[in-house]
Amino acid sequence: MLTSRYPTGSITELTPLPSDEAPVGRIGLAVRVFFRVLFDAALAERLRPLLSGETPPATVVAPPAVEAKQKKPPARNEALNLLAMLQREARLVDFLQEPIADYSDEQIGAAVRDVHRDSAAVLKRVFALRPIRQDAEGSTIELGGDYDAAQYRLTGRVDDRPPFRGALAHHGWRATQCALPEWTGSESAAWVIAPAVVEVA
Amino acid sequence: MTAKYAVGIDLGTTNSALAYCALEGDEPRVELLPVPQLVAPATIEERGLLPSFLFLGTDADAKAKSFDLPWEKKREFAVGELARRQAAEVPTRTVAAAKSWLTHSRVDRHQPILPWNAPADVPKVSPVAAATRYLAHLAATWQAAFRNAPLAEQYLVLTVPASFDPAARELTREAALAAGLPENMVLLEEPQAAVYAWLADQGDRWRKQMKVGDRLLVCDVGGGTTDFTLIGVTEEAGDLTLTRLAVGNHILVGGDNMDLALAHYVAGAFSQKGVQLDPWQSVALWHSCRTAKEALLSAEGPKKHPIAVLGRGSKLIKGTVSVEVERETAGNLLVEGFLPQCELSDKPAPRRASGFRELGLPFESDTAITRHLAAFLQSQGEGDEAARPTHVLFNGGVFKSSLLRERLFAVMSSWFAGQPPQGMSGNQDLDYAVARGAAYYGFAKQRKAVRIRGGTARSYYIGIETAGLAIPGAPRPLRALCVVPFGMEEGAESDVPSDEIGLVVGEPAQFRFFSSAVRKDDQPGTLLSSWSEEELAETDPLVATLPAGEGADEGYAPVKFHSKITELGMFELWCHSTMSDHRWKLEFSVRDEAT
Repeated sequence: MLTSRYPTGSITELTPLPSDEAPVGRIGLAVRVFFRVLFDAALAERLRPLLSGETPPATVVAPPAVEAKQKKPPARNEALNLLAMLQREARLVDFLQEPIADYSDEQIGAAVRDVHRDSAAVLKRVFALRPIRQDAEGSTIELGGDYDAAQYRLTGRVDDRPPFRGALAHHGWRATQCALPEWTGSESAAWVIAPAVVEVA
Repeated sequence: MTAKYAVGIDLGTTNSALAYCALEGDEPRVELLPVPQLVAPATIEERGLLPSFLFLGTDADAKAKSFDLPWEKKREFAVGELARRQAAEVPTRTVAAAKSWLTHSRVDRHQPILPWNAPADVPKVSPVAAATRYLAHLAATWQAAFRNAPLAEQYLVLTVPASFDPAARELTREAALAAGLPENMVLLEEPQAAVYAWLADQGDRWRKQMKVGDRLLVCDVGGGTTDFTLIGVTEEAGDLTLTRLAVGNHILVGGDNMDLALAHYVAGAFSQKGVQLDPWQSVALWHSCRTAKEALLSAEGPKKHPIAVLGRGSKLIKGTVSVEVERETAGNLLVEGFLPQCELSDKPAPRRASGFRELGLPFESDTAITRHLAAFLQSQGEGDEAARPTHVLFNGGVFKSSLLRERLFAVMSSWFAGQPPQGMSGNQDLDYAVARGAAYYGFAKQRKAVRIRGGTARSYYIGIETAGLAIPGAPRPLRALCVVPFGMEEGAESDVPSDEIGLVVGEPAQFRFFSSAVRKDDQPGTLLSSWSEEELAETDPLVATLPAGEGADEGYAPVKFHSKITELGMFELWCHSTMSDHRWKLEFSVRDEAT
């Protein structure tokens, strides 16, 4: 199974799945875990050590040996994976590497629509981004004193007296998954972002 | 050994998919299995669909381990997304539309003939082998995800176009068995699978949507083919029952043709601007048009839609050419080209019968799906009156466009003034409905829940040369003996009353084989001495070789025919000796045909 690349791999250990449960079943679990962690502070605290790689609490069942064997380090840095993917599917590297000072807005615009469309499709597929807050930007929201500083950044006249009331300036983004392709190539190929193309006549 | 899951596989012309449903539990929960596949060399990603493309790599590809999969190393080929992309860039090494070749009786489908028209020094595979590789990939995907549930032990349902003839079904089954699918797999017709997907979504609510006497038209427009099926609602012991009434002919026109038509149009717009596209750009344009199609076919949106072809070199912006396409004009081009308003009495233009053209796939000369539909409904009517559907179920990605759906309704409303068919309510997952429906069918069959009855969608005939004095230079007159009546159900068998037929021992006896979608009253033993081309269609011949010493001492054996539709829906024809208990099975001769 292609489990090694999912950062949620450690979470699955908390609730061992039958070994024949399909990846799609795990997506469901990941979403459930996501929302429970979001709204259940106690569970979040129990999960935190798991995710940061510390020794899990004794109650956690050890994962099967097969799973452990698969947790070898990826053959290439996943940042390179993502970059190659954005180039392959959206030509993003070509676009960013090309000096644009000499082109008219119209010429840039013609190219950017396609690059934009295809890059957005990659982000959607890999990360399935969701806003952290569903409220419309500009609307007033209130945060208690125990708000999560990773998810909310307060700006303006911030004092020490909760609750904090203010206008939502940005709804935030959160990845709900990280489904990068698995790389199986050689060491020398790992640094190739896009191969040179030769059209054989 | 009991099956834990019903597994549905949709082996599509352009995309394949796998869905499954646990057999335990009271409520069917149909899930899709994401398919890990190569999306680029040495890069594996999960996708919902497996594009039905096969790329035959070079030695360098194998050496670089570019096509390795978790379950197989040092591969020289790739299937799926990578292969689909290669179809554009390296067409002579990419196999596409292998499934359409399976039905093409003018070529030997066991011979390595694909990629079609590829140069001699390029590796080739047979249509059957290509289909086997797609199915083997899906089988390996299942095995990796469900290690404790071997695929060979599951209840497997594989879908085929309703218009597939018995030989094409046999070849599909052969490819599936070679890919490790279980012996007892069931073949299910795709439009029926789409109906099952709808039934799964509706639960028991479907009984409120339909009543006795209703007729449901399933309009299935895939990537490369169009398939019509008519299903009737009857009553049995106070309960509503679905019966498949008819299926249409195999029509080789689909969504891919729309993309290509749009690309041609946009290429024209480019050339008006003085931009001539090279072959690489033309392919890129085709891809752009695939994505633009949805925007162009939506009822609302900006008047003009830009379509660009990016520069090929690293200077992307510099090389980009673009053109503004009038949304309405382009949308109309597709609607009028593929779903034109027409009369119910119209017939599609016949296929061009040029000898050279026939060597490739017999694509339709008439892309008007509405005219093909009109012909289908006419052929299924009674007397002069065409069959009138009361409901329509759409299947296939092209029907995501409301414009196309509305046009089809508008055309049918004009045919049946005052009694237009209505659409089916509920969620339709157009890309995955067939795989989902196949998995649900497996569940429903085990539970004896609602099933579509139907039996064979055609009557079958074998050609018998009449005895008598041979006239030099003239072929003996041919008669067609009905061996399977329309609607013969799975599990049924029938003796075929006829005169005795003498088969020579040790020599292959070949019989021409015909089918008819319109002769619904013929019974086994009915002998036709003449027929029109529209009534009977000829496909692959059947062959039997009688080994010596098996009750045929005279040098020939007198036989009669015995036909059978197996529980799995496969057609079988047997020769029974009238002198002894010996019997021989006739096999489709898909090998010898090309020679």
